[in-house]
Amino acid sequence: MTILRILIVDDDTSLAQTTADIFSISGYEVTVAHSGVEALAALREQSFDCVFSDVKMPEMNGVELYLQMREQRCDVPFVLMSAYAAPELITRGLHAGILAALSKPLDMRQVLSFLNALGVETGIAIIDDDADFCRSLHDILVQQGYSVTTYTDPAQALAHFDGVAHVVLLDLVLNHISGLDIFRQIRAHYPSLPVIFISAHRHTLQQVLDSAPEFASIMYLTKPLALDDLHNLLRTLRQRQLQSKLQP
Amino acid sequence: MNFLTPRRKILLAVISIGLYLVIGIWVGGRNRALLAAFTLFPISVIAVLYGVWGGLIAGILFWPAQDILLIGMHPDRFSFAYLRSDWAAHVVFVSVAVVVGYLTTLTRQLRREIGERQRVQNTLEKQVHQNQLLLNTTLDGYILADTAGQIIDVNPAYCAMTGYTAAELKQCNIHQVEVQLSGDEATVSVQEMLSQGGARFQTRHRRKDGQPMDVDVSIAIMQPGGKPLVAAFVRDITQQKQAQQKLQEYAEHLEDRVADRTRSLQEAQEKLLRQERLAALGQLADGVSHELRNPLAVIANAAYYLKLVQPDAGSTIKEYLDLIDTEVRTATHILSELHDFADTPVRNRSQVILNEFFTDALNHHPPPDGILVQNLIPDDLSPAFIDPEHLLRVLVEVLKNAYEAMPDGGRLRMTASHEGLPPDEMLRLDISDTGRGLTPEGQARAFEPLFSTKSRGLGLGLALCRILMKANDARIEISGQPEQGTTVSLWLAVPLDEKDEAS
Repeated sequence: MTILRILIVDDDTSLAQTTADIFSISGYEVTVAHSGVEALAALREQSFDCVFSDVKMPEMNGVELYLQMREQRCDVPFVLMSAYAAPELITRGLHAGILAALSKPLDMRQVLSFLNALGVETGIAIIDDDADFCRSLHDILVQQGYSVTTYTDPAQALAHFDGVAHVVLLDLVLNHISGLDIFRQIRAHYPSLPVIFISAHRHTLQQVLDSAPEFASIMYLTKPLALDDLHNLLRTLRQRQLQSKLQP
Repeated sequence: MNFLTPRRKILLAVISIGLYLVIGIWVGGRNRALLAAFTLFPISVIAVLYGVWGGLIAGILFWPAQDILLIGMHPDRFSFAYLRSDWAAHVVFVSVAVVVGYLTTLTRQLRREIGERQRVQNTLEKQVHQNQLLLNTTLDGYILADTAGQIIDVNPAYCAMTGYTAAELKQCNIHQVEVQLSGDEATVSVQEMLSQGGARFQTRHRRKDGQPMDVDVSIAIMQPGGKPLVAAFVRDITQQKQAQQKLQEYAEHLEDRVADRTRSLQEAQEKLLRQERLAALGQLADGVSHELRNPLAVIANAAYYLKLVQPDAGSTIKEYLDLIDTEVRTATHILSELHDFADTPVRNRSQVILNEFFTDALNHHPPPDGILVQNLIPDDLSPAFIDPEHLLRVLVEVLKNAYEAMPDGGRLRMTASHEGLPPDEMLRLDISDTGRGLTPEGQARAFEPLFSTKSRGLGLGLALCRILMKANDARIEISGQPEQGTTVSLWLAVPLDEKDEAS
């Protein structure tokens, strides 16, 4: 596992330094910047896995920094550290795509658990009785940096999810057993585990989605998969999972 | 210019007499009875117009004219006729004229007397009517009684005053309606009234319902038929007396009232000062919050770092590092409170199922050991319509207070119902503890900002709760007795569509 690189941006040097010290001693590689300009320079020099930035800074505030960073085609999980000032600015930043806004002083236990989750690659479980489909999708997703497990036999799947799978891709039409039964078993064991339905039969899929209100908010894709859609869906899910780690 | 000059008048008289004679001779030549009537006519007219004396004078004046008429009547038998025009005929004519005149005078006198009487009677009737009207209209009571006190007449005002009917009162003696007063207050005696022709005094009469009333009485003695009658005008002055008494009491208590008013003014001023303090506090809050959070964050980081790098440090060192951490959290909490007080965030109201919400809140803020929690909120209670974040903060504050009030353990009970409330508008949530309770002062001031019974804290917690509740159309109240626990009651609105369904 590679060591995560973290950029800390705060014009308060003591705060930036103590935070950096805690992160370093917890096993992360930390760079400190004291202004937006410094931060952008650092971002140009090397890539980071996460940015922690103060909101109120002279010249460039935290949200402006995030927007400029995005302009440089750099998309890194970005967390604001606020001192309860400028709520409108923070709201604007969150809408623009900032992961979370934490209030100072940071709850270090929570932040470290977030970084821990950030370091773990998203585990994807694919349940589909079509072995070729499983293998091809596996290769593509691994290429994109996910850790993937495939199950052609759904009975095996449930026993192995724990701690490994963060997202399940479930084919609705399996050979011997209905995908819906599997879905219900997954829900029973892992109530918060996201499940994405996949199906080659658009019609069957639609029937299932309409059959019960519990499916109203379910995510789904149809075969052949639009890989960009899948990628975006997975990204959104990861964002949500990371955000949940930073909930107060 | 006057047409009738004296000469013309004489001329006119001569012509008239001439005409009269010519017509008389002409008429009389034909009929004797007509002649008599013709002769008698002017005499009678004058007698009627001028009475006895007029008739007499007219009879004598017409005497020669009658002779001429009689002569003219028989020109061929002049001497005979003249001789026949005897005294007797003249005397008859004059007598008739006098009698007619007398009768006329008598009649006129009689008529005048009758007219006079009629006028007097009319005036009298009018006066009686007016008097009656006055007595019926006046707001003062009127009693007419004989000297023994037997009531003869009363007016409607007195009936209204006492509640008796006129018929009932006419059966009464005045002593039955007058409250007997003690010796020194005794009213004026009848003898005194009679000797003075009237009197004026204050006394008390008793209403039919037994209630006494203060009255002002003025009395006139009337003697219409020799037997004296007592006419009394009675004015109800109960209210006037009461007002006087109140005025007196008011004057006596004026000092107390001034003191009271001063006290409430002082309280209002204190409140105003507190509010000014709060406004200044609010302005400071954001700035202070920002400025203090950074140093606090550094302290927290430093303590955390030390804990990380010294995993094997002695227990006292660890204890002290934890202490730093805890105190930083407390300080941060105070900053949050200050900030929230200055700026309550925008509401995001939605349907909240209280039972679930409570269970969640309790999971996040579990009670300390020794406190038993009873969640008696019914499952089928309709949801509340409130910003869940706001409700959570209120609940956490209430729970925290309840836990702190029961340091030796106790029971926390939550109930909710629509009882006594419009079910489609409100529901009531009660959170009761068995803790040390509140003093009356604490209860009265619980929601005042900056009022705290604790050694630490700004005293903004419950004040903020009230602000948050108000922002959600809800209400919070606190009740209880010292040493008997405290109950916090929340009145929460229910969603609009729930209302629609209910109606």
